Amino acid sequence: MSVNFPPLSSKQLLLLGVIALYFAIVCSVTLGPMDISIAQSMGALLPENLRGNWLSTEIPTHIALVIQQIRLPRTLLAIAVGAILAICGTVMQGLFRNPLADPGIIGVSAGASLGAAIAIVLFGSLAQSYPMLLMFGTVPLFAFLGGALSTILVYKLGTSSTGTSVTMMLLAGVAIGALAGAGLGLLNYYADDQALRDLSLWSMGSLAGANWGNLSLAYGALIALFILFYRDASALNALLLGESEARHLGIKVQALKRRLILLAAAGVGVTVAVAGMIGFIGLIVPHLGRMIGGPNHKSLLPLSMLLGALLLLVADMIARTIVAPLDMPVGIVTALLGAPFFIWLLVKQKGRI
Amino acid sequence: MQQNSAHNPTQNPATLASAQAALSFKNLHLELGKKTILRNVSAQFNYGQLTVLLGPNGTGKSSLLKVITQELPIRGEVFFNQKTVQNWCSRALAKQVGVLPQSSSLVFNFSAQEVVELGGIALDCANAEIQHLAKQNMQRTDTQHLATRSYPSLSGGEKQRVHFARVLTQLEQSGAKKVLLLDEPTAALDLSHQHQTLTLAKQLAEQGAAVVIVMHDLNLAAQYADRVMILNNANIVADGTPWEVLTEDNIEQVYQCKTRVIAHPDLGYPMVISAI
Repeated sequence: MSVNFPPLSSKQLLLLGVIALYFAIVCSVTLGPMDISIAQSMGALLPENLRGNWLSTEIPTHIALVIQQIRLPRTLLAIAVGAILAICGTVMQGLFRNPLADPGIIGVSAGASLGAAIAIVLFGSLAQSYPMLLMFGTVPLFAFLGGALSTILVYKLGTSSTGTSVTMMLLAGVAIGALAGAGLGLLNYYADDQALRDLSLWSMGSLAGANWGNLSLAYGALIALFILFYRDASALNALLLGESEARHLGIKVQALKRRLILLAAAGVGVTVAVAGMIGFIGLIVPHLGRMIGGPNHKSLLPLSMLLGALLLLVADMIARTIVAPLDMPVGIVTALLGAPFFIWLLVKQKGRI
Repeated sequence: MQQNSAHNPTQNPATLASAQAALSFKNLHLELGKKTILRNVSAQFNYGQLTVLLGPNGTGKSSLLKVITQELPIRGEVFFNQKTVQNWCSRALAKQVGVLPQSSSLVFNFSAQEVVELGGIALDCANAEIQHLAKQNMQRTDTQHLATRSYPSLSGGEKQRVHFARVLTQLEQSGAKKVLLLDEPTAALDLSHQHQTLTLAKQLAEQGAAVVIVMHDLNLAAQYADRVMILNNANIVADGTPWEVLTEDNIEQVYQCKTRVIAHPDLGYPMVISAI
């Protein structure tokens, strides 16, 4: 299944990824109920003085407005959320030393959603008066707490000194998923109409709520997470050898694990707060990344970030167009892509679990 | 008994005592569940010596290494270069003390060379230099031809040699005085690689390293060890040169096996053969 020795260097792969991402952005901005030409969207993505001859088409105000207020924020949110989920999935797979770890599958997203839902229902009435406070404060915070608690629980149940038991990890995920599902169901009864609508959005995962407010939260988180994860790339590589081997190599394993668990949970928490539960990105992307560029986290993390952005952006384009003019939650698309992939992985690991 | 003087089988115990201690430990105690694994074990491993730890399965040889490397909780005292190990910075320790585990699993598809380069995490050098060191050490462990192979596809013995190269890479900045703790490094190896690995370990010891090897093959131990220790019933029951420790009585007591010990006809080290 694997390409051991990439014909392209990791820098070339990243460059390729950036180019692909640019075209995906242009497509994403072009697609939608209002007709916008490719030249117009390419033009709108550049400042006026940089638009060349063939892009210098006049961009009507209403088109510029749609791009600025609707399509570009949504595109950018897809990129940030996809990238965060992908690097968090990469780190979790490294941490669990297992290619089946994914924030969605092991219950971290479910825990984060429950946290977010509690915040929405408890503090929903505050939202009318202080929407920004809600966005930046309680929902991400509660989502983070829910995600962190679930990760710690799964980790405690699933890992021992000899390594990670996949069975325990997946079953713990099932248990947390069921518990969070029950909690969410219970909250439905306490929620008022507005909160109920928010809740259903959260449980499916959607990028429709993109605005410049949650974009700044998402990009802040992405940049911080990427820098912090990247600093631990070597330590993550060492951890793949096993905890004691990593310790023998001078890594402070306990502190490393604690740090990575909290950071990954924070990342998942932010994505849940801004876009709800979007599954499988964190599962698929690290696999693709390893197949293309190898398992070294120094190249895998940046590559995963790009691939995750690309994958969620494409999934969102599908979600927006497949039942147009309606807008399908993107979580459905990622599940449709991801669940068969997960089954394929299970088949491959059959007998080893 | 004819002994080959070149191999000095009856090394003077005084040189053992005066050698410089790399790792020493006092009154180590370990209980797992209700079972006492180590009971007040004290000893030291010296620079310039290859020490072999022998003993029946489950007598705490690996556990002793795990306590020394702080993988299991220390009850008692462990010193590295006369300083309590807990007071060493983990990175500084990693540069000087390398551990080769019995087996290690690696799920993801690293190439063999990448695994060896992981040893460079402990070092302060540029990537290019680490790659260079990794290549060198793969040559020393006869794994250079595996460099581009994917690690999970290697055989058990090949994996073991790749990890040996990784540990050697980890210790590249230690100078001659390094500590190598090898847990059954020859278990999965074929005959020629057993000798190759142990010869390399012996060379390192001659250059000044403290090498500690856990193994089960008494004859390999006798051939390569400067010093042999036997662990039995949670304690060290014999400690000395191969000729002092590998006696028919000791072996019968520890392994409940009747054997005869004879001198190797050419090399002079003790050979343990079946008495039946």
